[in-house]
Parts: sequence; C-alpha cells; structure tokens
Amino acid sequence: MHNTDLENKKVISNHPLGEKRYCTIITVLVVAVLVFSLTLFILMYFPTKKVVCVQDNYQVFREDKLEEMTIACEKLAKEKNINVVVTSAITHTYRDLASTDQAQKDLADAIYREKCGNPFIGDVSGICIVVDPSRTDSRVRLFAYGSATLGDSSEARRIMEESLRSDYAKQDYAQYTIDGIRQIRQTCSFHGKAEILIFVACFVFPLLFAAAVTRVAFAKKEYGAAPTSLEYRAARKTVERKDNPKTFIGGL
Amino acid sequence: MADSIKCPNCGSNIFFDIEKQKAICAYCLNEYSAEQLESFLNSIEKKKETPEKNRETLKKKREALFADGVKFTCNSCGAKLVTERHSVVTYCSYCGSPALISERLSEEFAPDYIIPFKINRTEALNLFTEWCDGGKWTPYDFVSDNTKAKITGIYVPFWLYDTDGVIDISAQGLDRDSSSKYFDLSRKIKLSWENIPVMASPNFNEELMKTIEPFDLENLSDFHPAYLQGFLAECWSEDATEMKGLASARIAKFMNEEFENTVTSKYERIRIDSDRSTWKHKNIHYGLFPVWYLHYEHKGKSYDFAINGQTGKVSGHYPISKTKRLLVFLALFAVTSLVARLIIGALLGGLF
Repeated sequence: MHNTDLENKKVISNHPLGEKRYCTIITVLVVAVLVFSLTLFILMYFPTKKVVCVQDNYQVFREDKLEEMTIACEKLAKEKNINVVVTSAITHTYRDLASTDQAQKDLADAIYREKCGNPFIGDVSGICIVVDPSRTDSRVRLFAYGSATLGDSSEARRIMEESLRSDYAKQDYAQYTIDGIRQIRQTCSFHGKAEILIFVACFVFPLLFAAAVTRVAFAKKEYGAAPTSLEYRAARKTVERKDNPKTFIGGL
Repeated sequence: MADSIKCPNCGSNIFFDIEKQKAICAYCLNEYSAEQLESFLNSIEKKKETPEKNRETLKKKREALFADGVKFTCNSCGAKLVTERHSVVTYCSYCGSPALISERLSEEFAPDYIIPFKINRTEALNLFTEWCDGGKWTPYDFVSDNTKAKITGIYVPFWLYDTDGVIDISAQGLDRDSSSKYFDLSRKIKLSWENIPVMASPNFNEELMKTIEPFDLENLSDFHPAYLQGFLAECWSEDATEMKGLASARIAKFMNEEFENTVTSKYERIRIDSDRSTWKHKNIHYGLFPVWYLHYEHKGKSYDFAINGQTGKVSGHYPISKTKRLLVFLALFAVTSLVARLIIGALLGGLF
C-alpha cells in the first residue's frame, strides 16, 4: 500500500515551483527585505546625539562671541533636534559668481559631512551656516540637510540673510549670526512636514500600492468567451437590406 | 441490470481506447470497432418512432428510473450497485467493471449522437498543469496527485437544437463617416443553425461549459455504448422542452450578433424602431459530449475546471493560495517601501 499523500508532498516540495520550496524562497527574501526596511525605519527614529560645531578658520568672528554663538547653536540643536554647524569662509578667489556659489556649497557639504558623519546612513538632519565676508552678496548662506530640507529651511535662509543686511556697516558677523540663529529658534520648524512625507512615502504609499497590485493580479478572471453564431450557423441569406438617408435632421 | 460490454473473445471487460478510437479488451488486447459490437447495441431498446409520450408519463418514468437509491445489479459480479441519480455509466465498486445502466440509455434516454474522447487522461493532466501554471499561485493541494485523480472523463448530456430564424429589424442609424447623416435601415436575413448545444444537466457549471465550446460537430458519431466504456456518463435530467428557454436565449444572442455584424461597420449608433424577428426550433437531438471535469472545494468556495475532451480547449477558475498572496503583498510592500526610502534619502542628501 503506497502512502500517496506523503509521496505527493515530497514530489511537490522538491519541484522548483512546489508550494513549500516556493514559499521558503519567497519567505526568506521577504524577511530579508523587511528586516532591512525595519532597520532603516528604526534608525530613522533612533534618538542620536546632535552635533554642534562652530569653526572660524578665517578669523571672521570676534573671539569673545564664539562661546555665545556656540550656546545659541546648542539651544537651536536641542530644541529643533538637528545638527547645527557654523563656519566662516573666504571664497573671493573664485572668478565668477556661479562657481563661487558652488564653492560655498561644496565647502558646506564637506564640513557638514566631516562633522556630522555619513550623510547617507544615519540621522543627518541639520543645517550648516556659512559666513563669507569676501563676497559682495550672500555673505551668510544656510544649507539644510536630510529632513530639515523639508522644514522651514527657506524661511531660516531668509532670516539669516536679512539679519546680516540689517546692520552691514558694523561688520560684526558673529553678532549677526547669533541673532539669526536665535530668530530661527523662535520661528522655524525643521520637522513635521518631513515626518508626514516620509510616513506617506515609505509606509502609506507602498501599502496602498502593494494592496492594489495584489488585488488586480489575483482578481478572479472571467471565463473565456462563448462561441459566436458563426460556429453553429448552417445557412444565411439576406432577403432585404435597405439603407436610406433620412430626410430630416434630428438626433437619435 | 448494470451491464458492461464484454470481450466477445475472452469475456473480459473492454474499454474505449482514445488513441485507437476503438474498444480494446483489457485482458486479450483484442480491438473492436463500434460496429463489431453491434450485438450489444441491439440489447439497448431504441427510441420508438411512435408519437411522443406525454410529459407527465415521461416524468413519472424518469422519477422511477432516476430516483435516489435505485439499485442495479452488476452483470460481472452480481453485486448490487447504488449509483448517482443521473449516472448512466459508473464503475462497480466491488469488481471495478464499467457498469452501463442500460435502462438509462434506452428509449427516451437513448442518445442520438456521441462525440468520442480524443484527449486522453495524460493530455488532460498536462493541460490542467499548464492551465494552472504548475500550481504557482494555487494551494499545494490543488496540484497534488489526489486532486488530479479527481479529474474525471465524463460524457455530459446536451440537447442539440436545429433552429431556423428570420431577422426582421427596422432601425435608424447615425452614419460613422458623417456625424450629421441619419439613415432609415432595415434588415431581413434568413438564418439556420445546426446542433446548438444546451446542457441537459444541472450538475455542471453552465457558463463554464459554454466556454469550452465549440465541439467539432463534423465528427459527431451515432451513439454506441462502446464509447462509454471506461468513462463516466450522465443522462439528461432536464428535458428538451424545459431547456428551450435557454436555447432561445442563445438564439436571441446569435441573432443580435448577426444583426450587429451588418450595421456596426457603417453606423455609430443604432436605434431599433421595430423588431419582428422570429425563430423556430426544427429538430432536437440528444448527444453526449466528452469533458474532463474537476470540481474543487477550497475554504468554502467552489472552483470548476473543464477541458473539451475532443478539442482540448480549457476553461475554469483556480483558487489562489492565501499564503502566496500574502507573501506577494509583503514582498511588494517591502520593496516599494525600500525604494521609496532610498529615493527620499537620495533627494534629501541623506536618508533622514
């Protein structure tokens, strides 16, 4: 007497598309991707120590103001949960304005990456303020990183630029920067929108997308079409066929 | 009495061989054409060419012959068999011999035509596996040998209607080329159809059966029980008069198609003013058509699968494994989520 059930299960599980093997391969893949996604998700909300850095390589700030600036930056970092980097720069050697702009951005990116770690993995949400007296305009520029770009970074940028313009003559860049940072702390938010966007993009959208695709892919299909008249027709004879144009104009 | 056709040479059971299209003895391997087994056919009482019995008498006869629990005696081993209500061929559960219930193939229940099986069991199983993608998305059990063993070769009863009809329609049509041109149109077309099949048993899914049509009616054979040996078969359980409604519905659909074929190329819109179309069923025949059939229950839902036993046309629904569907959903969700997160990370200059 054969144990047919057992043999069937063996045959099917050994088949490349056998349910058991198929499920095992898919399960491993799904679990791997889920674990990876989950790790990234946890990293996103894992509280990390925020970096505060004030560096003045070009002696632009008054020395007695550096400590005050650092305290202002620390308060901003703590309240807004972002990294805050302030640096001075001299970029006047660049010939045209476009390359000078780019040089400032490159400088900010490099310093930010150096101070706040790998910008791709990890919580890099933050701002970098570059103070560059060598320029005739845009002496203070603010660059945002990570989810801070989705917050009020434009507003913060405007605040920083305006705070400098308000008292140009005194050239006390440190004080202008401190004022700007304080104002940003009072008026700007660097989260909220970002969290909603990331939640929608990384959770709600994939959930709906996966549900819709699965539903369409596994929808119960209709049976095929039944045969037409032609299949069973033995004879056909047209006795009358008239197509006369109508004499009045009107709709059907 | 439940008969089975015995080999005239050795007396063993004979079975219909699909490849050879002949009856073959399972023991001495002698082959017989249907004509050579004519003597058995004579034992089945033919339909009498007398005026039709009234429906009441016929109904009573049916009820007696097809009632639940009616017993037949196997002519091979003498065992008493209780068959399904509408079965005309079954197997003796004691000796395994094919058992033809002659009374259910006699007189009013004798088929006029039969289409012998052309698709054998192996081909049917291959078609089944191909149709359900080897069970890629189905539950494990659906493609197991246990389920495959339930795929049954069965002769399904059909009423075959020969019908004459006349399409007589007057209508107004809006010209396709010029949207402001209207036409008065009339069509009068004489048509005739032959052997339109309408299933004569409620035991099969009617919509499914339509979709495995057409059968190649050129190869319609006169009925002979030898073709039934080795398969199951059912007798009609809804008489031709009862099924006229369904036949008429098909004819109405055919006439509509024929009318539309004459107008759709020329007219954008049609409004029917009068439809005096008529049809009449001329002749009605009774035939048995070959079908490989599977009825499968999964989590309280029914799934039917059928193969046209002559042409190999396949139709049906299969169950989807909930586990596999969930895995696909999770995989899609995880991959989409990951991709979205990477894109956002790249756009923001960092993941978060």
